[in-house]
Amino acid sequence: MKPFELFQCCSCAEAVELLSQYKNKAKIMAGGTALLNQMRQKYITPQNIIYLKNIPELNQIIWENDTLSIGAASSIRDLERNEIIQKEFNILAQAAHKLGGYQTRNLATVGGNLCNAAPSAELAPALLTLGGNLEIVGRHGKRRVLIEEFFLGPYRTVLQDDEILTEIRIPKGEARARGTYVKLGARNSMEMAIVSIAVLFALDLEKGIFQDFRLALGGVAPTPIRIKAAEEAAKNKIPSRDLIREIGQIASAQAKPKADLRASAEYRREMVKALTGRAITQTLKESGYEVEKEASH
Amino acid sequence: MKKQDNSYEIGKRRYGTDSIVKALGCADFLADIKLPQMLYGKILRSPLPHAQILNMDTSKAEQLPGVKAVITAKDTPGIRFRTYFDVPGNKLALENEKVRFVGDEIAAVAAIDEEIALEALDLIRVDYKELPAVYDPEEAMRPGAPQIHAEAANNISYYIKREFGSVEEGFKDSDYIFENRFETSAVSHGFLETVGCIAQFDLSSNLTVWLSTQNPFHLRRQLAYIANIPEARIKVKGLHIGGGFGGKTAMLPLEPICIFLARKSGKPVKIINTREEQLSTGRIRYPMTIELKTGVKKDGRLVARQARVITDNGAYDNKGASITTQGTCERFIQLYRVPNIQFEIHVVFTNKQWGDSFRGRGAPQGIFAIESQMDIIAEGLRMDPAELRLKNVNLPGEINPAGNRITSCALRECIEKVVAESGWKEKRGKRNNRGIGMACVIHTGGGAALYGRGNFSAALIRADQDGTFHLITGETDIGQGTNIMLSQIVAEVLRVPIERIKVAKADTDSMLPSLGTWGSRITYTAGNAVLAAARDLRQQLFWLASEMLGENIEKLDANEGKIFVRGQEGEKSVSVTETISEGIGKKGIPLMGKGYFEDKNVIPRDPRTGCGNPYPTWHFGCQAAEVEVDPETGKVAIVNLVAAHDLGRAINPMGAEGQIEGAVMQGTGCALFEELKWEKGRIVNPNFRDYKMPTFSDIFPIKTILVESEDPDGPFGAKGIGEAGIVPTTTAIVNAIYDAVGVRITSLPITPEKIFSALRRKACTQK
Amino acid sequence: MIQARLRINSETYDIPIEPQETLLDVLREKLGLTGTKKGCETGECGACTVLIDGKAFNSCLVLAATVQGREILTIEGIGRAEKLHPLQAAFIERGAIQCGFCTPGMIITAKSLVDEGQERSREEILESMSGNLCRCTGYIKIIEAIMSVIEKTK
Repeated sequence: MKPFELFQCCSCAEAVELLSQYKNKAKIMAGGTALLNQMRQKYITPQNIIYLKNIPELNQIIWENDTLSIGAASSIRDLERNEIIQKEFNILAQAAHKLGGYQTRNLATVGGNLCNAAPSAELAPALLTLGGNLEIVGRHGKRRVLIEEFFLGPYRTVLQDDEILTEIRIPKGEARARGTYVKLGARNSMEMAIVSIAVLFALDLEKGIFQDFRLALGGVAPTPIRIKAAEEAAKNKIPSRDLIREIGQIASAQAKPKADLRASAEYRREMVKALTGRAITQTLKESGYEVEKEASH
Repeated sequence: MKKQDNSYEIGKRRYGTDSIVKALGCADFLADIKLPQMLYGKILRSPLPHAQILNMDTSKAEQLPGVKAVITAKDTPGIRFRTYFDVPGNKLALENEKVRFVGDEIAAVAAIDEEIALEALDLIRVDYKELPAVYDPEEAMRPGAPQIHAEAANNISYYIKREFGSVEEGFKDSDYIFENRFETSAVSHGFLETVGCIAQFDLSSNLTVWLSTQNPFHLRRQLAYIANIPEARIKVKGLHIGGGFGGKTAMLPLEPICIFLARKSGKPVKIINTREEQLSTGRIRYPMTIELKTGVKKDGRLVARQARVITDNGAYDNKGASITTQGTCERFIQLYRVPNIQFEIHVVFTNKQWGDSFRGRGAPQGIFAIESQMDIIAEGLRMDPAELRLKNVNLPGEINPAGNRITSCALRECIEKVVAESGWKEKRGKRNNRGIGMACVIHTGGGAALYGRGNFSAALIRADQDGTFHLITGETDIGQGTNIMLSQIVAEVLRVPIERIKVAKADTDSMLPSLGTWGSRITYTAGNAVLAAARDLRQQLFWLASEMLGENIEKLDANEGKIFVRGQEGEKSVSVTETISEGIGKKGIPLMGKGYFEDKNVIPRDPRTGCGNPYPTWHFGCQAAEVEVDPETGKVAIVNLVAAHDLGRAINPMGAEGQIEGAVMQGTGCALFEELKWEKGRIVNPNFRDYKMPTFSDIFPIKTILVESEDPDGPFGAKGIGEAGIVPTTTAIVNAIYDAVGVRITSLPITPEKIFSALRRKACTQK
Repeated sequence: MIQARLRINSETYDIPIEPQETLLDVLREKLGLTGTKKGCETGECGACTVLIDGKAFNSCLVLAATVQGREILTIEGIGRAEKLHPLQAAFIERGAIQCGFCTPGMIITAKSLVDEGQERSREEILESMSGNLCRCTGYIKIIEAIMSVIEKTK
């Protein structure tokens, strides 16, 4: 690795100040799992590293006023093990659990996962379904963006040179909402997703219909994406095999997968179809709803 | 030979001699060694797959502070590597005129730290003239393809056609003929410790090298040749080896490069491959394309077999020819009885990484073709695949058309045990996304008299006055546990506790001659040498004890560290330690048991016909895998695997199980995940994220069955087990997938996408 | 150059380090604690696993300068030949060690799982261990060794 100057910041203000001073010569580091690999490969050679992990407020997970605030430097493992997340935002805990290996989850951070902006960013689909928004701090103050607006393309985000991601906020959702995160890789762990799918919905038990249906995908487009057309199609409908198939088809049509060394575009498209259905069926099952009955008429 | 039921040590479950130091983290591996004044070497490699080197300028690199030596081909004697056969090859430690694959070595730097060495590499200017490149061996054979080596027309490094019996007659005599094509992938050994070297010259120009090698004497010989240094001046030091699997047998370019850097800088130099270098420029398993045509009788008897094999040799010669001939094609003759055989081999240069042996040395490729096709034949004949195999198994004492002699052989028993233990009959043929499949293996059980070096091993056991026995051989334990296994043989013969046997960790100056760790040879060859040495020492101890006890030597026996008069164990006995003291301390006789083994059954191969018998004995085995296929994704889950292996006799059952379990998981990786991929000659997955080896999450229950056929010539009946476990696994999985979903994958690895697409095609054609 | 104070295996080391130096390189090259292995340098093999304040990390991805003042534990700090850690003993006795290159990292990761004391199924242990690659054993005897220790501590 090329030498650099390391700044271990104690506050966001300090980090922003340094960032606006060094601009594109500096890189933000929290966990460093992706960054150090890029630096070792000399894909990037920053002269200054601004280290955020020691900033106390970036390491907090707070549940208050029906909003969950996750400090951007919280480790993936903090998310995975957080009781509130497990209970209220379980799909996020599921996604956190699927990221890399145990050691990586101890080191990698939620902010790093999002800011690295890989098309298959593990936490993004879950956060997209949860309606998360992000707090960004720069020299000119704070701003907030919806997670849907955060990603611009592969490994590109809306963050300006002097901005850092400080917090991920998730509003309390429908109490009965359940979700499933499904990830496909060749091995059973230590994988980058070929396809990942997050499905989140509540069932109106009286009417037996989908309420507030959310669907997001990873690994099948330049950025993680929410499939609003599929959400619309599902809304207020009775879950049936046909509907589930239709949702899968819409998702598959909306995906813009590319071939890479893990899979072809065509296979990814097919997997979106198959696994969206699987994620919905599994979520229904966990909600105590049997699709079979509905499909029989 | 009947199994001795009074074994003292043979058959005990023992952990490796160095397990404790390894668990404590104080085992010394190559990378852990640091010498005073040591420099760090880095290699400049070609960024192009095929190019002429027009000009090289190292002056800026030489001027960089901290750089102590820069070398190019000009600084080397320019001697080309010999292949493993000791015949002239074509690789130079540093290439001077042409580069032939991305990663080809052209210059190297030694500096006071790695970062400076890397910086210096960036300062070396090389002008290339890029040449058209070729990556596919079949394309490389076509007229007009880019010529990689001037002397190899059509890029063919090696061609041979062999026939035993008459395939023409055989096919005429067959009721049915089956023809299939199979492809295997490029896989990496994936040892956790990458390769490397430390080289140090002393003031009198003697060279010490620390290597991560399976084969210290071979390396000494090859290094002496390439570096033009007398062998006697080179000492190769023994270390703990972080896995080898065949990938640390031959000399690698970095080893002579390290020596040249040490010579030029006058300081010790260390080069360790990064993981990326290891995966993108290290040795690989030879990928092959196999066309197999087999004629059978209605009742399933094999009559004739014809194979056409094209091996992707990569850019340079190493073992492509020998592995394809003996490792792959001879399996077509050896696994089952086939009276008429013909094989034709093309080993072809391409602009890619070059290969080496990888556990099974060509057998996994050949067995993939044979055992996939056996299932195809069984289906064609409407036979149970197990029954078809049983119909064609070898029997002890047989000599096949190529002149290979079968000694002990429990293949029948292995198949029967697997059928019984796996629930074969109940589980097969359901086609409900769950399936079971089997595959068998034959592999050498004791090395081979290949490479013109015979097949031998030697051992010396030194008795010390404190009652310790030092075992000295020339063999290298690369983690597979041969040191404890050999210790068990010593303890068995001397009837002393295993803790009293110490295995010397030595260097080529003080070790005994050896052929190295390959070919599952140590149990059989070194086992026999150690057995002879232990018996020799036992005789010396008994001679002393007979004097001490005043009894005839014939009446003596030993147990639990004591030598006693048979029937009077309580009254008339001396301890082994006392006996040693008597010999060394009082009588002044040094006590040393000496033994060696040479395979006297070798029949040299007739170079004209290819007939001969370089193998002393054979290992047989059968595995059955049960799988579940997810038809929506094509993903395969292995439910369990039963592995029965005829290892003659299990000297250390825990070690033997470990060999099988580890090999099965490697075979699983080769089946499901592992493949190095190139784009325009560049490896695109040189890391463990994208070169996917199995993890803990991918394991499944493995039931190992150790079948003890008691080889007449093996030490206590034992044969080798190191490699065989990997050989059938991949194909058992392939056959199980077919049983589960009715699609047959003929090119490895079996990615979910391949199964998914095949299922789609099948659904399409069925409509 | 930073004058760093590192706490490793209950000892304090005051050493100069460069900001770009990883904990792995400082352990191995500066302090001679070579039990922690370098297997891939990309956080994919687990051979370099150490505990920092009880949590398992790939030391190839941790800058040494960022872990000053924290308690670092390496394989050298958990047992001696006369007093093996129960995991070390279990690995040895159950034949879970072949070449031994992955062993220190395996034992360290397993230790963090044992120490956490959280109830985990065999499947969960397998998942948690999956960042540690082994090419020799096929993992079978390693998981047996780990489970035997977990059973005992229940």
